Amino acid sequence: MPAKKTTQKETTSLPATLSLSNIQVFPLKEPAGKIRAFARLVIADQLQLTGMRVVDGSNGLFVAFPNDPAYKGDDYRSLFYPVTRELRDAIEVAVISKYNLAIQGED
Amino acid sequence: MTSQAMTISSVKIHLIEGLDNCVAMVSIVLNGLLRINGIRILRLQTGFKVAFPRDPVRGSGDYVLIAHPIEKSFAEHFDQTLVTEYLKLIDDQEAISLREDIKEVKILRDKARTEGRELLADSLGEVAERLESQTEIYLGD
Repeated sequence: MPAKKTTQKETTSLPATLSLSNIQVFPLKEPAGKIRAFARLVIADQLQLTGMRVVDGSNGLFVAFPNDPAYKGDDYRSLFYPVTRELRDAIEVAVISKYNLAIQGED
Repeated sequence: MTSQAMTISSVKIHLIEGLDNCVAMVSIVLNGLLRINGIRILRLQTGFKVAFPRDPVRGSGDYVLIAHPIEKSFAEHFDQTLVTEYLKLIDDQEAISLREDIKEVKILRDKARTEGRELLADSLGEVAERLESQTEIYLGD
């Protein structure tokens, strides 16, 4: 099995109103393309976000947000995405560390 | 944590027609940090309802919700905020169209007056006044 790439990012502190909890990662047994896992989490104890993907990109693992299937433009549009770098990094760190734990448990 | 902790801002409403019960697509930002697209406002027999973004499950006719509130109180807060914004937009649009109507009626009234058709001009003047009183209901002018 090839060595897994991991993103080296420091955990960023989030405002208390947007804490991340109940992070669940579901690694694919047979990865399809570059997708390694699906993930979901709860933000601020209020909002469940699902459909995130852990993708093995050329620069390592990253989290991709679900695309809007109803969007009729030429490009893609995410159904939800962090507006700030701070939240994006926090989600990425939380999901990817959970993914790494999950695949270590499988080995 | 209460629903007050989550603030909804940057509400963008796109009115749509002819798509089942869906009357608008909405995009919002939560706490200035998270943008959510693909929220729908549905007009049902029981009133307006906010539907959260969903993704079709391949091979079945089912959908899975992509982003949705966990607590009922937050869901209600969410519904109330978005439906209020939608109704405000509709009222504004109706007021704009009413103002355009008034403008047109006044042009016709002036034209009738210059042509010496006083009776018609008076009737059109009354119509314009009636429409203006409706604008007061919409805008509080």
